[in-house]
Amino acid sequence: MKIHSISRKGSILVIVLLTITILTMICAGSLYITSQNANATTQTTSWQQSLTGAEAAADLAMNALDTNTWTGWYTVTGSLPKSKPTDTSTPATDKPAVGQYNYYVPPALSLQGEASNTMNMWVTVDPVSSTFETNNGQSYRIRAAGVVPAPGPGRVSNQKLDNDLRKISLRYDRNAGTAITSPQASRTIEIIAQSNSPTGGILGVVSRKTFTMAGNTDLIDSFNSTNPLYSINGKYVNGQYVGGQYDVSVRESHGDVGILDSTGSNLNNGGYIYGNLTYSGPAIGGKTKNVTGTISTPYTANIPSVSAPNWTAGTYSTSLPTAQGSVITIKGDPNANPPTGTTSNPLRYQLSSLNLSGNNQTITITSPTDGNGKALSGYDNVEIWVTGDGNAGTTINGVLYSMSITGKNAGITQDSNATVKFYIQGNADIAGNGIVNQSNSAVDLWIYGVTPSDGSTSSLLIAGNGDFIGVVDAPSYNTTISGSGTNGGHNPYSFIGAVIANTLSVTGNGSIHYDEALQKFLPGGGLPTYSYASWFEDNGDNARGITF
Amino acid sequence: MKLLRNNAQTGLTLAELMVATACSSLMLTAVISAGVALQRSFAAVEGYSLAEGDQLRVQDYIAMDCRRAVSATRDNGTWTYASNTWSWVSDPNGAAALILTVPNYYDANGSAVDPSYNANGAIQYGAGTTTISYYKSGSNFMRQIGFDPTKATAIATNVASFTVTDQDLTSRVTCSITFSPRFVYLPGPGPINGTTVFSNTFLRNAVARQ
Repeated sequence: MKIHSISRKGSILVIVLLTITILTMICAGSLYITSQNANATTQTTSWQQSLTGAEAAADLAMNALDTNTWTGWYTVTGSLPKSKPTDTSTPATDKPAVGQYNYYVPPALSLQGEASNTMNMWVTVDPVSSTFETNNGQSYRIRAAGVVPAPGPGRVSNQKLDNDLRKISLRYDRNAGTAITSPQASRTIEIIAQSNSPTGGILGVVSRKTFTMAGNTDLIDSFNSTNPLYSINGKYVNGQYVGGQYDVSVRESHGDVGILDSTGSNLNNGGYIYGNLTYSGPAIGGKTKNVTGTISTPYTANIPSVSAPNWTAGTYSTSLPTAQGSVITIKGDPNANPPTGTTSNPLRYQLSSLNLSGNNQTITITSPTDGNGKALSGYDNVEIWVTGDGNAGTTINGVLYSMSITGKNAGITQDSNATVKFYIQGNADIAGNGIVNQSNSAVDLWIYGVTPSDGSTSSLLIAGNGDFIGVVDAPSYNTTISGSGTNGGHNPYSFIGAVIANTLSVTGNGSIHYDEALQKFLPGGGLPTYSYASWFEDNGDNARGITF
Repeated sequence: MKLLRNNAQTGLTLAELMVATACSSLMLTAVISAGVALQRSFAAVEGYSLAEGDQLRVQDYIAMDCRRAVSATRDNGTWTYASNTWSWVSDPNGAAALILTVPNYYDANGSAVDPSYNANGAIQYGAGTTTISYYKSGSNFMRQIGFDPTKATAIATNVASFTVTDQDLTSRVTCSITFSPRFVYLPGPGPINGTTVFSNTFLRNAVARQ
């Protein structure tokens, strides 16, 4: 019998297995690459989220500094930690002293998204060394870290460049120098918080809104009328140096400018600010390189409004003394009962308007004299309230001014013993000979621009033929300080003192010389506020030789 | 002897064989088409992923450096070697560059330094500053620390153009980088020209002083 033998080799099976193997390798390769991309995506997300965490922690520190509230913070003596501090033995009650730091570990935040579901933060605040302290008060360094887990395997990105940029800690925390159990992204920022001023956040030059410098040689700087090192020609009264005058040779760089809403602010093409510029809102336009100090944001001062006087009936007059010729003389009477012109019983005048114009129309505020003709100090404290009631005043170029000093020789002169306060409602134009303050101390002349209850604004022009030495506290006034007096102004015109305005414009090569002696007299009070003077992210990895 | 016949080994008729072949061909064609489509899709996704990675990296680098810069300038020119030193030489026909000045936050050992005030009362880190520049070189996008372009790093590839807007370099830096398409198989409207990403970063360190 012959039997046919038919071959049954497994060629089909081999082909199928080979095909499956190839397809599996293709799929595995694709999945590997895809998983790497997914891993890189989550790592990138964690890296970016960690910066958000660091910024949030820094904001908490700024708030703690601004409010001096340290709930949940702890004080530790020693150098700054490299990892999250844990010493809770001393709750913080105040800003840290040199050699200490305060730290806070905010509660972790829950996240939803592609990467981690948790954001951890911690922040430290320590004072910079004593060499940092300036006249504006102590600055503080804020170091804030945001740490976000990076889900997925502890595997570097398939792109080396990403690893250089985003330093994901896979097995080792580069900042703390310790091993970790799961991958995380950690970013650290360092901020210098600089005090806007030691008291109340009010600077020497404050504008609630737009601030502009228009002239090429406009200038803002500072001096100190009570410090012989930073002023000239002062005198000693009862052992105290007072009345020092500004001179460029003793200039200081604390002509700090604060702007609450910087919209439209512009330094234009050349004005110099010898001091810091602090603002909130859009960036300042113009030649900001001429700011010699720090430019920082935000500026968060509380600027109090100015109220109209509330004088008791019978304590004031409704008209000025009768003029002798064109001169009105105001002086107290030491022989009256009680004496007038004293600090406790100042000479008060409530006027609907005060307009001086034409030749030689002047007001002289002077001291009474004794029998020998010697001036008696302490009797020329004067307060003048211009109400603008009934649209009283003078119209100049279509604008009604309740107070104005215009004309060739019109002006107000106060002698070296006088202390004068003006309360103004309505527009004011102080030009002509302006207000001459013979004490050379800005604290002796205050111009208060009363804040209207309806939120409206008024205008205030300060120009004149001579320097203005005084303080303008007019947060509702659009104020112009002009180097071009309306009648032959001289250059450089100087405004010496301090100014608080709604908008502030320095024009015509005018200068503002802030008198640092005014600091304790300026309104505001309360706690110092802080603004960012420097921001830096430490993205270095010393172990890998990477710095920037 | 009678020839025995194994009736169990019956073959297929021609018609059956043709139907089976047709079915197999259809299935194989479908599988191959699906595979090609999947590979093409994968290539597109991979290209997209790489492009996204490059774009994110460039934006993150520029944003990080701008945030910590104290000044920024834009210029066209080249890094030129002369008198044993590298320096930037302006040239209208040169590459557009963003040049940032960053505080010297690190000392020679790579450790962070403490800040201090300069003579004008401004915050400074260490002595001097460090220059970081960005520019396009060929189709690479370069990030250079210091003045030596031979040490620059290509942080992205496939870059078609780079511009820095002069809008407001005293406060913020606005850049745009256009990437050439990596995956251009688009049977419909044709290949796209590229992808442009924009970076607009506020200079936090006290505004640039140009």
